[in-house]
Amino acid sequence: MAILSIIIHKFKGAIRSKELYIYIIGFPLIFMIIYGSLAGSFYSKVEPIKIGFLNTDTSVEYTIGDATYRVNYGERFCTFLKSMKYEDTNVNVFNIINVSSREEAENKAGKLEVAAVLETPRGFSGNITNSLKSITYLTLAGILNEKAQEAYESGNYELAIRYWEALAEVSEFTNLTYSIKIILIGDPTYSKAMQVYELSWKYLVSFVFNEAQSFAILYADYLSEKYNITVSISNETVASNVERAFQVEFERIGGKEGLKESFMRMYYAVLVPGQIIQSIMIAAISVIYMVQREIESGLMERIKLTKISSAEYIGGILLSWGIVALFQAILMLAAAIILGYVQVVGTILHYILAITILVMAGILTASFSLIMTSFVRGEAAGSIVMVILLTVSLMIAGYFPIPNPVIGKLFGREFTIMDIAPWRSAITGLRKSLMLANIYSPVEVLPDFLLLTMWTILYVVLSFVVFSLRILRKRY
Amino acid sequence: MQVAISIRNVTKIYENKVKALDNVTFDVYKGEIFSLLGPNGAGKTTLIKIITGQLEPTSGEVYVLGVSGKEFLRSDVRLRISYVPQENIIWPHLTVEENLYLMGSMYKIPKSDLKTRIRELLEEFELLEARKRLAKKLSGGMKRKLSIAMALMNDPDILILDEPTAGLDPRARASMLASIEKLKQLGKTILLTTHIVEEAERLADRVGIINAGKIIAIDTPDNMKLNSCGREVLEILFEEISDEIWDRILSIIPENNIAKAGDKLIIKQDNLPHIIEKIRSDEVLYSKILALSMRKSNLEDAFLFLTGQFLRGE
Ligand SMILES: Nc1ncnc2c1ncn2[C@@H]1O[C@H](COP(=O)(O)OP(=O)(O)O)[C@@H](O)[C@H]1O
Ligand SMILES: [Mg+2]
Repeated sequence: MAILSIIIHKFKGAIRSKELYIYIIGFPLIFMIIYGSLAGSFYSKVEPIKIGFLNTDTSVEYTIGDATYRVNYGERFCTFLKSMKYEDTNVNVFNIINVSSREEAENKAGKLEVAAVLETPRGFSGNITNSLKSITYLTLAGILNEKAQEAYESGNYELAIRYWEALAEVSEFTNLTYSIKIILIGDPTYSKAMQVYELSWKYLVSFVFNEAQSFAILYADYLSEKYNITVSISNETVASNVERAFQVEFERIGGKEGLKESFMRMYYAVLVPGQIIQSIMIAAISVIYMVQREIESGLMERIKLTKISSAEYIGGILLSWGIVALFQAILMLAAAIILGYVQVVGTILHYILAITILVMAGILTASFSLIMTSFVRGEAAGSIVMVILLTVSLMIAGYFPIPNPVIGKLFGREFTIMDIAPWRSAITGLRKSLMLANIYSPVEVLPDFLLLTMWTILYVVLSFVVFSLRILRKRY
Repeated sequence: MQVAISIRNVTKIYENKVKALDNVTFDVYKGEIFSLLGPNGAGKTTLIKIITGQLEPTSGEVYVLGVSGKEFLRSDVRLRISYVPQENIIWPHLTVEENLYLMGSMYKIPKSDLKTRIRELLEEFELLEARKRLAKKLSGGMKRKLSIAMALMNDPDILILDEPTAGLDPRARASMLASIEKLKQLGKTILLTTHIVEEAERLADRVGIINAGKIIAIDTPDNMKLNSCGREVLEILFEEISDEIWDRILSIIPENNIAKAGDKLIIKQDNLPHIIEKIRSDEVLYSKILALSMRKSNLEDAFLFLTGQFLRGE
């Protein structure tokens, strides 16, 4: 069959050309280095993450002078988390529901009803209080000492003594021990659980910083009044003393592997599919160079004298690039598996879906390239398409958190702005079928699969029409 | 004689107003080698593109085996013609064999026939040993041969070759000419273009001289030479052709019989020895001559007398 021969030979030609390897290996490598060095936290979507909150903490009391304060820092931390927004947006980071027991927590996290459950354990408030006192001591001791010295040197002994007395009082906060711990209950292979894990760190630190700031100010005011001195503290002095013993303990449910590995795995679950699709997108730019060369060499004209139809020829090009994409994906996946980023956890059906998605991504990009070649002639075509595809792929590959509002829902899948880029569904589909096969059933991959199929068909049809009209069209 | 390709009053004006062809009319007969001879930019490639349906003429009509250019690409006649453009059409990343195979499958040649056909062509064009080599790694001559072999996959009746020897070294060129001669023996009609006189003379049954988009003359090489400059010409090289020298020459030879090319004169005349005698007897004239020879005329001379120009820059 003629078309078969075209597919086979185009594929052979493609994999023998050195350019392709620059696209297959060179580019992904560069991106892997660049993005691999960025933190995994960048991949989040800007939408509230549903988490549970389990507070097993008890309130503590502390006194400053005559005033007695009774606080439950577990509750305060929960309130603090509720108020967190994504940067530059009005969107809450968390959507928090209260959980009353460990069983309920494990149940909800296990069913993925929530991304994870955060637990503030018994003793949380006590430890926080101690840390606040410690930080306050570290912050104030320096200031009070300095002021006392200053007063002493200027001969105001009476004032110096008052500063020293204040210093003596705050010194009761020395040598307090504390260990701030929160527990995260969830499945570390679930990307959102990992996201919560990372965010918990970040927010716990800023929570303690906030509390420490208020506490230190409160205490400084108290001392000022009691000893008739002036003590003012700046944010920076508090901040420099916050970085002490913090601990976020991940209590995993399900699975076997250790936390670190699963984190890496999660990280690559997000990055690898994006990268595979990105490199397929970039490699298919070779289609442009190939076709341009064929146009310039007169091959396109030559073909008109043969029995081959333009449909067969275009079909041959597109399908061969589907196979190139597959070949490429196999290379990249093999590397990812060898490096331990991917674990084979899905069913046969998952992998059939994944393979079909990869082939379609190749065909889709090749069609896109053909369409572009039909409009832009010569050298410029390659560069223009390169810029377009690079930009698009960077945006949709999931390297950065880019606002991605939901615009609709179909088959239970939410459609976002990014789905307008046809390759996005290939990435999400690949993520589910390849990397997160233990979480998503093949049926759940279908919406992405269908969307990709739709886009691919649309682009293929368009490329047939445009390319045969503009390039293969008969001159008479 | 049966007409294979008929070109009728073809004019081609490109979008940039360049008139590449100017009312070109001639026929190529079945079984002959017709050589279009003309300098670069004469319009040879343009004409070939029009014949093969790649370009539309501004006016005029082309018929290939009786089918007009308008129907050509839609008719089966297109399968009986092949052309090899100036630039090789090969897939660089495929082997010699694969190139032939792919071209063959584009003609939907059955697999069993394909194998034997490829074998024949590999042998014919001395590519058998190189069959597993990538096309891009071949020498210029081999690439050219591969191009032609590919064009022969469909066993065409008419083969059009645009500058088949361009860019080849002398050895490769000789071997290419031999191959083309063999093709003629197989009864193929061949239309080739060249700007090299020796090639046209050696290969062509008939030569069409084209210059600046116009066909100047069409004939067999022998007739062409005979009609435009006779069987022999006199070639005289001067140190310098001053006005005085020029006057002295004109007193011996009529101006129409002289083609001037720099410091060189080509002279046609029935009785050349007699002219030589006259030149010898003019002492002044004779003393300014560096070289003088009587030789058989060639198509270069014919071209010079027909157009007043050199075919190739000297
Ligand atoms: N696509 C084109 N557009 C405009 N002018 C062209 C084009 N192709 C050729 N020409 C011009 O037409 C003339 C004939 O060119 P061409 O047919 O290639 O000559 P040849 O093959 O005899 O060297 C030249 O002056 C050339 O510059
Ligand atoms: Mg030419």
